[in-house]
Amino acid sequence: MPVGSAVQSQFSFAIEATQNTRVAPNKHLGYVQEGVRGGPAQVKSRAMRAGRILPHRFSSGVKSWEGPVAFELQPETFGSFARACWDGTPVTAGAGPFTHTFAPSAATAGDLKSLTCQFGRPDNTGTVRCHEYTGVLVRSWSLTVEPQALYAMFSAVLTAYDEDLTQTLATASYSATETPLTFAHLSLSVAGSEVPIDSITLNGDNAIDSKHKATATAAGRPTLRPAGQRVYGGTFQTDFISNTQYQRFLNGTEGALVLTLEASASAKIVITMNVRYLGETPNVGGRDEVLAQGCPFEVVHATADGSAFTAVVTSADATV
Amino acid sequence: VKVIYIGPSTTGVIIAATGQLVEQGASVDVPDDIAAGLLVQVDDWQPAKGEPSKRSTAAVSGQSEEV
Repeated sequence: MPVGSAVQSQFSFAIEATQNTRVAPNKHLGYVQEGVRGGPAQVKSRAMRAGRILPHRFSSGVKSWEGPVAFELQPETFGSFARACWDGTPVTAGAGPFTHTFAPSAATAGDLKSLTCQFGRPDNTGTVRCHEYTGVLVRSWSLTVEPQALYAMFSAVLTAYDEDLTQTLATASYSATETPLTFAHLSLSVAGSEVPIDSITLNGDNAIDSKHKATATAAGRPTLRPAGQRVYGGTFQTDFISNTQYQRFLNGTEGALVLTLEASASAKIVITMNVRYLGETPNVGGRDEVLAQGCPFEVVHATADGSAFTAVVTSADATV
Repeated sequence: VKVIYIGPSTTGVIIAATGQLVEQGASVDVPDDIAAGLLVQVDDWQPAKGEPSKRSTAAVSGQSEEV
């Protein structure tokens, strides 16, 4: 008897060759939750009519879909999803394991890949209903690692061009060697020295613009495209170890920040950044505490985007 | 129906509906409806042509068949 709960839900996606043109989803990731919603704005007519006091007609207005999906970070399959988050054309090297290097650059600024995404949403009889979204762009993303949550969590806010309930749910197959990354796989290097931290969050805004054109062709669907300067940054929390970190903020010192999540030599994600610190004073809040140092930062580099942010995903995936 | 996994995972994949482990480049026997669902994922699966399997699929032990 099928289980009529969300436990059998599934998330599948594919990289679109042409934005907004469906591709049968062939990438499958276990996920924790999603909140993609939307549809057409139903607009009631404001026209008055003799003998009527209740609405007599409405029309379908602008359409939009948006919401988050969150999953436990793993190198396998994630590299494909990262083509919609960081860089649509990563450089692949190696002969197993393979490295996939994502480096946002002007050459690929408009090249974040669009996705066809499917959520399998089980009804109360256990039938998993296919809700498919095309032309999906990643508006923003975040990566959080903290011991309490165990797994490194990656979430992305998706924005879609269209929703289709008529497609067939993808037949899922998952990587045989999934390697979930946890807080125990983390190391953070600040200006070349490893710093023990309590937690870290990276986030990015891909500056996706959404417009609705007055045209029958689009039928109310949005025009989605990267349109602004991306902002990548984050914050990490550590003990107040010394004045060194705070001094970096006061001096406006840029520096290297390297986040490594390594389960093994063949399963890891390394994010190398050059950052400026936004500063947070280590205040004394009371008697019985070890002072904490919050370290908010923003990715920046004077000469090259790729020197500001580069992520290398190492996995058994030959391509992403 | 026999299908071959040609996708990017060099360690293979597990078909969720059947629990079968399929190595990259290997074929596996699956029910018709599962095969239909896999074969639309053209970058990852293709039909096996003509060649009989060397050993039967073992879903529990996770063995895959060599082409």
